[in-house]
Amino acid sequence: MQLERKRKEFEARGIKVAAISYDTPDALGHFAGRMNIGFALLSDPESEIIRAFDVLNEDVPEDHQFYGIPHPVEFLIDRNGTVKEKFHEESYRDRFTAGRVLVRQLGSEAGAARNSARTAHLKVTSWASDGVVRGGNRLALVLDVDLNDQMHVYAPSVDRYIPIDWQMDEGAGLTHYDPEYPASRILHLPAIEEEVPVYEGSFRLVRDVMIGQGRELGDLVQDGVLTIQGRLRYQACDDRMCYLPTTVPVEWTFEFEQHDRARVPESLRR
Amino acid sequence: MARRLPNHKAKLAAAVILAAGMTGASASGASTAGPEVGSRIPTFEAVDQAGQTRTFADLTGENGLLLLFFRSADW
Repeated sequence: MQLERKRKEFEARGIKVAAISYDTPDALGHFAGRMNIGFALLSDPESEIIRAFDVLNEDVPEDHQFYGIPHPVEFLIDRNGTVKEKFHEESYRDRFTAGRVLVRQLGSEAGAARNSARTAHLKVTSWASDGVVRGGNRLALVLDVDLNDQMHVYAPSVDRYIPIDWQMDEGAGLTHYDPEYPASRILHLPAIEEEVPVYEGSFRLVRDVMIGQGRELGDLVQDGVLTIQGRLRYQACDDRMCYLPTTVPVEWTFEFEQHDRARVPESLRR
Repeated sequence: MARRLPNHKAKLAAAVILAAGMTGASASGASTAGPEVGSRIPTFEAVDQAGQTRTFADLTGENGLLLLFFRSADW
């Protein structure tokens, strides 16, 4: 289970992890042993807790074997029982990864799939919230940009200059979400009496990507490795001059994992 | 959830009735996928994979709990 890989990162932040399903305690015990799971798996065989939380999947007919399953929802709850964050995808196959929660909600930098590229103006490091992914995962992609001394690039709200622009290859099997750009600084240029929104020093851009199911990904997966590519386009200037607009290729590679198809022994099935 | 009250079963039943009433009020028939940010989760107790009865109070860490609903350990 992907969550087990991230469990210690949550625990290091004082956050415990638990998961609920409609399985019996024996089925959960078998699963926990097989997957080496070290957090609580909670049994809700009558879907009472699932209903109490109002997360019952009502698309499943009542007479169906799968009736009683929940929507794939995650709650980040404070110690007093108040919901701090909620993560919910519509399809039962889709799921925000725990790694994304760590990066986007809890400030974790322990990412994976790191790559760096350097240009005359900056260094860009690409990384992701997860190194091992599977179909249906929604995870975070990150670009850390370190500008050279005295250099600035333009924020997305700029007029008449070329703003920084994180582009991703649209392709079958990937859904890209809008990037989150940090707050910019207003730079006053006395020589030309202009005020422009810029980034200087080091800053971080984050966006989500949803990974499609295996066959939708086609050539993006080769020998069990998923490669996602994009570009960072920008125009850099320093206090003396502006340089030509530049486009840097950025890339993430992941171990692509197949879904776990093993079942519990027949005697433990519903 | 800091205090443990004695009658867990009754509390769970009450929470189920409360949640059912809220679903009815939403009228769309579709699940709202649970408590919104800023609201309290319902009280619950459940048996874990080791056969132990667990409540929120003993599951949570000092900074909270990541609680995940998943479809099944079987399929």
